Amino acid sequence: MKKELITLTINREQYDVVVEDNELLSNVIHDTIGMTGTKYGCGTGECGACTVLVNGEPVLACITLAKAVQGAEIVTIEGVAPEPGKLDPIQEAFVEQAAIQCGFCTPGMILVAKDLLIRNPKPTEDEIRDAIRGNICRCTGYTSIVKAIQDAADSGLCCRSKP
Amino acid sequence: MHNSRIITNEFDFCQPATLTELFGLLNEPGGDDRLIAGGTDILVMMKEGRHCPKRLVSTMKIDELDFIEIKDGVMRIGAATKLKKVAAACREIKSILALHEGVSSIGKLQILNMATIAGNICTASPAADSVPPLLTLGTTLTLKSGDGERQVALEDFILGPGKTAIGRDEIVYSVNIPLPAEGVGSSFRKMERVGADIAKINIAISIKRNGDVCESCKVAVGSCAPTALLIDEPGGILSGQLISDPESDLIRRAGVAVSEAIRPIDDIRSTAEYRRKVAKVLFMDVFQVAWDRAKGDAS
Repeated sequence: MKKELITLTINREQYDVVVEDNELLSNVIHDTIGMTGTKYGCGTGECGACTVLVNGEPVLACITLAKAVQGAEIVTIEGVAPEPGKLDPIQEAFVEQAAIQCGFCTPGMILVAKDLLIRNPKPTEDEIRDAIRGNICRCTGYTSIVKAIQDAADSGLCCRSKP
Repeated sequence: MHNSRIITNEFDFCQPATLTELFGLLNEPGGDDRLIAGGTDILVMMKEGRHCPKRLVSTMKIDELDFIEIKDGVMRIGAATKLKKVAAACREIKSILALHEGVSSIGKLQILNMATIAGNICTASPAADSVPPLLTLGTTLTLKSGDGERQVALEDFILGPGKTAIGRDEIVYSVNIPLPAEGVGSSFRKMERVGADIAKINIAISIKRNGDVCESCKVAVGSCAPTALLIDEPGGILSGQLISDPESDLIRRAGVAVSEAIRPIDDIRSTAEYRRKVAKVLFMDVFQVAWDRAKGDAS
């Protein structure tokens, strides 16, 4: 199959990668570029572990063709923190609430929370639960995750700028 | 066992930027093209080996297909308009709240950010959540090809699971929804196992109300036949009737008529028996909600 050089903009940096037409964004990010925060969970668009932001909106990288997002602004969990060595307020709230156990769902949860708090800085519990209904967690039972997102919202620190 | 991490079959992925370019591709001889929009269904099917097209032609870079406009009482939605935008537009119009509810329940946030209205229709799943509300609203589709365009009623377009009346060189251009007049209320409900799941059964209703008289009532049910069904019986029972109590025997009778009109089967999601029983209850639920909404609209 023909290979093609494309440029992807991930976390405000440009990456030149050689891809085939059937390559998925999740694999290009994780395997080719080596950003391992984006997880391969179900591979069928059910679990939300591969969530990344494309032009600010959460989408599923495991059912997105890499060539389809040329020219888009992609943000992975690696691009959420404001600077090296610091955490985003949502990440801090997840640590504080122990909203992480195995950690596999965490990148997707945090990116969905990031989008939610930009759109809706003061969400209700129902709105938080609705936002994360496409992200499956097998460890926490969700309560600590919902609390962490609520805490991040209450801090008022996390919705000022787009990642 | 399929590997859901990768797509094993090889294909060319084309992303035309204009309709002219798109029709040029579709008219190339001997093509094994498959149109792709958001890809949330087809890429999963390709991972599972259920589709192996030689070429995927995307509609997502064609700006002409991304629009919502209201003109002469008709809401026209461009084929490649994402579901999040469709859901938001329908939330603002009280008489088509059923469409807002149906579209919002197609999937989670991520799916609504990716999938499109024409994709939900053209996949032709019997469980598609946008279809029952669209059927009750009398929706038509504008199909375009390099040679011209034609209008098709939605009920004539979806022929069976995965089958539509679309021609090889055609695309859905727009979804056209006649906006109801004053005094119309609508509602949608879905039974699913967990949140963001595929429907065991879904139902939409649109009622025209005049005071306490039901002037007309349109009902459509999904996941209970090879295609979503428009069901005439409740309209026959309820049209012109005085509705003193939305839980009266009359409504119950219309609910029984719905459960008798559907043609459900036993499958991985549910049983025919369950679907028949719950159809009656769901009908009564959506009737009550739409009836109240229709009143609010008139006052």
